Amino acid sequence: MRVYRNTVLSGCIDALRANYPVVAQLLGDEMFEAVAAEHASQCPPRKPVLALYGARFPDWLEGQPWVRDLRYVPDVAHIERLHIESLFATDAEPLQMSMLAGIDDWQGLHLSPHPATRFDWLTSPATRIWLAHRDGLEGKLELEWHAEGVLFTRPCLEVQPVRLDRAGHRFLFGIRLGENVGAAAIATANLYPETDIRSLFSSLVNCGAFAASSPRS
Amino acid sequence: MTPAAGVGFKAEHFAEALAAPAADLWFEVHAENYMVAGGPRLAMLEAVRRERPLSLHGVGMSLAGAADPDPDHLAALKRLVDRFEPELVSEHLAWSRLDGRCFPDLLPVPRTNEVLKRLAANIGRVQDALGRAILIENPTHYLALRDHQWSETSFLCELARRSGCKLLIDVNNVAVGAHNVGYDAVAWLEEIPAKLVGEIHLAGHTLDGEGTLLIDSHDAPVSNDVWQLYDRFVARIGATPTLIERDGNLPPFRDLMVERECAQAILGGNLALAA
Repeated sequence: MRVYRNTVLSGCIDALRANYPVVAQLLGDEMFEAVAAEHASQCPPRKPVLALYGARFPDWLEGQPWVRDLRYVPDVAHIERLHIESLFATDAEPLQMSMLAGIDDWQGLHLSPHPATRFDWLTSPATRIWLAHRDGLEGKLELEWHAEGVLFTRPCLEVQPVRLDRAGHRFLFGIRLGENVGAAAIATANLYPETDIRSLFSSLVNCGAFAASSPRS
Repeated sequence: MTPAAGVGFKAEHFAEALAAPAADLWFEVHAENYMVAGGPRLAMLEAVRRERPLSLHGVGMSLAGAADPDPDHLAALKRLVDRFEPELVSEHLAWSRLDGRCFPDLLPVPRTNEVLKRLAANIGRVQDALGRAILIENPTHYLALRDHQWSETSFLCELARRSGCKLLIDVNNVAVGAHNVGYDAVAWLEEIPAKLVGEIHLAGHTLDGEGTLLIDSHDAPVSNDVWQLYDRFVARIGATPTLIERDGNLPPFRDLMVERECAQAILGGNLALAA
């Protein structure tokens, strides 16, 4: 029976390694395998689609006693999960600035995030850590320890990561909850008066954060 | 589909696979890897499908399980079949789901009358949902289960008769099982009627750490004994779509194509292996 048990377990570990490559790098092969095996035994796959396996891994990591000294590891795991979700989300046309030509009632404009848009705010510099490892530049990583957000968008079928500041996070957070563009912009500007809201908005549109089907006044 | 040789498609090989000039080349993918809502992975498969015939090979339907096929999983398979219009759709004679938990493996079943009935009913449900016949692959054996009421070949033939499915004969699984549980691979293959075979799989295997079990590892080239069995099998049943499977230890695309051309030569009847 051992051959079956081994195959089942290694299938789960391989799937976690594929979906959490930077967590695997941070922990090292041996530790990652032990951690993944424990996760797989506590949270086994419920669907045979292993491309999506590991949804509970980031939260599960947060509850592990050994991460007390490695707070950024669960944050990196959250980022990797957002990346997977963005990668496999439904296809849709992204909104382009030209589609907004002529709109002047920003308070009446509601936008929907593109189905592949994912973002979060993290209390560690996990976004920088993730980006550096993904690009093979972890040796050059010089960290200032501060909180930072991450945004994934998928214009033209390729997932693009962006480091998100507080203002960008506040704006997207409002839009996701259904706030209109004008109200989100005013709230963001009040909280972060140094922000150039117009350029924040156009950079979000240009990176494909919103769905084309969404403009409605 | 022309009964030619195909290759398991891997994303790493995308550009070369699209550019490959080989006549009648086709590709197979694991259906589960494409059961996602959207994004680049599906777009890549669209591009492959535009150029070549495709085969969808399922690993997660758990046909031999105690429960009916999972309706969500079946719907996901149907969406793929409708979108990509594969020439072949296949699944395994195995179970991989129990009490809401999925095991990423193909677990064995005893060949009893009860299991036969359940399998035929589950295959019928899948075929009804898809509106087409599917192929069922013979499993690898690592363990001699004691409760068999049927020989494996008669079980497979009866399953095909009852459900209307055809068979995907994995010659490597036959060789691995012959070694691990002790039967005659040549005689096994002789007992499969030509008209039931819709596809053949060829893959490599490795010896386990203790040197006792052969593992159907799909991480090595097809072994010589498997080529010999295949040559003899094809000589009897005639040209049949044949896949070179490779999942681990992935070589460059051109190396897989070398094996593909060997299978193609055997299918074309223009290669004589030493008897």
